[in-house]
Amino acid sequence: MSRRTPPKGLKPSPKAAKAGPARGGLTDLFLVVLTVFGVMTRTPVGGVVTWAVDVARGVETERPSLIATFTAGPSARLLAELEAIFVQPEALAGALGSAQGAPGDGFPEPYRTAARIALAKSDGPADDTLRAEVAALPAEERAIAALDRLYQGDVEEALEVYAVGAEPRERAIRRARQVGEDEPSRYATHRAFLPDAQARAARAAVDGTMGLAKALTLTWPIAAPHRVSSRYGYRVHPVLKTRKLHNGVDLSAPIGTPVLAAQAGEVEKAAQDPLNGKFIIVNHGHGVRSSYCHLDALHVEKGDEVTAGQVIADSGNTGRSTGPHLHFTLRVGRDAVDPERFRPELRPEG
Amino acid sequence: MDDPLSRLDAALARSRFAWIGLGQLALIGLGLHLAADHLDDQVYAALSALVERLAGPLETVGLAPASPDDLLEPSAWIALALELLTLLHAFNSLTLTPLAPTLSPRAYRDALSVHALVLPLYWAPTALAGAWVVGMSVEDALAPFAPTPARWLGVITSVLIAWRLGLSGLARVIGGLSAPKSRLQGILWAPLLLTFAALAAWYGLPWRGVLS
Repeated sequence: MSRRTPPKGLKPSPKAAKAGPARGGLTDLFLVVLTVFGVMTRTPVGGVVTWAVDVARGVETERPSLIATFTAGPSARLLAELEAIFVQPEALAGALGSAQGAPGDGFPEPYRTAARIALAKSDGPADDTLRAEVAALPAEERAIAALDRLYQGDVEEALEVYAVGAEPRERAIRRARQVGEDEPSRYATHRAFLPDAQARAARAAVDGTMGLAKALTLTWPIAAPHRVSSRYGYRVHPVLKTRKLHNGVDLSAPIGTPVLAAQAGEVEKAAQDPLNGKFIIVNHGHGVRSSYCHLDALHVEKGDEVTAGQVIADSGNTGRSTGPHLHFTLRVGRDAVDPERFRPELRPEG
Repeated sequence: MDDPLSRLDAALARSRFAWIGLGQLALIGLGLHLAADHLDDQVYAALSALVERLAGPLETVGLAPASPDDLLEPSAWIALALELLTLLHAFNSLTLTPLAPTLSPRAYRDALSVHALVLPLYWAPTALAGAWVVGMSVEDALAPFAPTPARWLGVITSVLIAWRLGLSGLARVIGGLSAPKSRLQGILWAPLLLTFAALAAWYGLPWRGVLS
């Protein structure tokens, strides 16, 4: 990029400086400040600056992710916190049934949110009825069920309204409509238009709760009797002899065993490669994906909508595999998690 | 010109060269970030296709190809790296040009090259998308106090920023063009800049909703 003037840094030539308008300095400075404010609130720069200030002041703080705005879904850490609450019946009952103090106090978000919404929308005898109904449900279903009952099925909206408020949500929907999105009222469609801090709150409340609810209610992909031949975690690869994270579980099953969709969702990929053999990836929404590898026959195609428990393939021994098995992975947010943590029959009773 | 406010205004105007570039660059940065938020999806699709194609050859030399769902994070980092690279290009375009260069069709014709053609095509939608983002930030900040005025203030802010920072920035980088060594100058940057421009125009401006 050559230019008519040689590089002189920021200072212009006297002629150029004279060419600039002699008024409007205040307006321009104000607009520059607003633009920098936009950078601080709409990009990861604000988070990085806050973190740097905290570090300089000696305050312990978590380093913000530079790529957070590109990746949807909750973090594995948040989900682990949520899971601890979801599977502890007494903690849950306390959150929903506390008679003293603010409902849900003492519980981490977004679980507290769920509890507060449930109680804020019910009063007097209805409150007791709700509690009794909710208490009769398995632990991991209680909060979602309570919200579902109160919001006629639109749990996402309930969580989002609580986390960010109705008015900012409406603004985000309006902006999504302005850029021509087909379903602007869907959280996944308009979340990019929420203000930064509120987007973080919504991500925790909506993606966190809904993502975990999906993971906690998954169907195990093989119904027939089988054994887990290799668990999630670090292992020495049987073929390559290298230490590597085994990002899922291997379920030993004869070729032709029906493979079930772990949850409702959309088939994101149904393909074949030398490593995974024939494989399927299902996107369940809210950052939750499951994948099924080394299959023998695929019964679905990319773009198909599947229901939980639907037969989507037959297990096999294709790709880099040492014997007939299904390699099943569960990804929540950016991280592959141990599917056995969410295996229905292994979860604590509510 | 005697009152203190006018004097301050004039003093700030005289020192404009020292700080206006920051606003112009921040504006482009916002537009780029909005576009990059969609670029990572495109990168993910491209990487998935590439991995699928390379899986066979990698397998034959004993290397394990990446699993499709391992590509999400690399895609985001690649999008971020491309965003920063493009921002660096904008920084370079801005800092080494005069503050208010003389614009003339003849000077532009003399400077005509791939770079000169791409520059306005990339700068305009990116700056407009950035202006819209600032307008949204202003509306979001004021909405809790006065929702309806906040909306209009957001629109006015967007227009003012597009004019005072976006247009002045565009004039600055166009006016800074010189006769190229080759008409093909800038051809390597063109795909990247035009990709960001297209994403900013498609996802970052409200025209689709207005038309529908």
